[in-house]
Amino acid sequence: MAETVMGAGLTIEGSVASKGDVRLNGRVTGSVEVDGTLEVGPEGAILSDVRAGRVSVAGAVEGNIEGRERVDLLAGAHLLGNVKAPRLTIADGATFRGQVEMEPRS
Amino acid sequence: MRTDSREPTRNECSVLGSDALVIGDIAGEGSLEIAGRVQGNITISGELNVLAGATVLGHIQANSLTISGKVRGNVSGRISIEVLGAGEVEGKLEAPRIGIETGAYVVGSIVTGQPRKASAPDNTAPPKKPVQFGRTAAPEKAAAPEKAAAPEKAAAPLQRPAPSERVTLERVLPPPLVPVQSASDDQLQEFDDDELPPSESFDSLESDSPAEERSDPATRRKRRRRRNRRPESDGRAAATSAAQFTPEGSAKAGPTRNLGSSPSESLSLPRIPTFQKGTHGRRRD
Repeated sequence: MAETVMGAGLTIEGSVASKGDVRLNGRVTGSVEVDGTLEVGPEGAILSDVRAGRVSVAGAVEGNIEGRERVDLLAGAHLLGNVKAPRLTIADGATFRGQVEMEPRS
Repeated sequence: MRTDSREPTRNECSVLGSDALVIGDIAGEGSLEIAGRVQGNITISGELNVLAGATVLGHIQANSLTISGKVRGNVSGRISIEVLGAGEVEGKLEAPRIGIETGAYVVGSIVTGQPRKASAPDNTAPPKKPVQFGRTAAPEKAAAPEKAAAPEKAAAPLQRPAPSERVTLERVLPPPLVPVQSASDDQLQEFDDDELPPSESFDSLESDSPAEERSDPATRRKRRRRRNRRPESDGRAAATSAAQFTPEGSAKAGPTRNLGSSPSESLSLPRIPTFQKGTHGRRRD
């Protein structure tokens, strides 16, 4: 699967959509929609909503996160927004302000 | 990945996968490889590689570019641009060094050479413009690579007059745009007038026209009617034709329609008219 990698020096002032996996170390001001796995690196920042199959955040996200499978807030993550996912982990050292919504697993 | 040593720290290569879509501007440091689609401007310091299958709709600026995908927008390289055989570019190519491989599709102006500022020898640039594979002697690399945009634009008018054949390409394109718009407005108005229901246009034409002109078609019809209806009396046919065709010419101002005077003629009338009068015949029914 083709993978998208955004380097730390890059800024996207707009939205990103991808069917594959995405690793973000840069900065995105628009929404991010990924069908696969979205990794937000330690230097990555997203200033809008995020939707992905799996989301793992080590950087900053200001917006709601929706993970169809799971959402992982790693150490050093900073999240200002709500999370909607069937599974959520918040590591020690992650900053999180928002609400969590989990739908009962069927 | 060969990258310039100018970027000290974040010399990370970014990759935009083939199924990725970015709507918005991309800016920053480092090199970028695009296999997906981008709708927006790209401004990076580093290498930009537009792979085959990729599409970029927007202006691109980078240190060095390799294009084998599709680009619609101006491309400006601080060092070089290379359009490979699979590449498609619609826009202005601007860089000190430009290479276009056989099979590439390029529409737009191409400006190569150094910015005018550093008093670059212009005689090297113009003749080598059309197709460049090899490296032309790029004399000065220190000629303001940072502010490449402004000086290169200033250098453009210098180089245009020299290759006249290629300038014509550009000059042919713009003129149709302006006149066509102005003409299309006029044409549209004319069409609007013409596209009125044919009956109305006929009515207005014939009612507005002076009586002499109106009499001409009437007399013609009379003649035709006489030819066609031999068995009937001429006087009567003339009377009915005059009575029925003048009001149709000016239906609004016309006095009356005496269809009932002779039903047989009124039935046979609609068949007579030819071409334009078919509309009248239809309208009467």
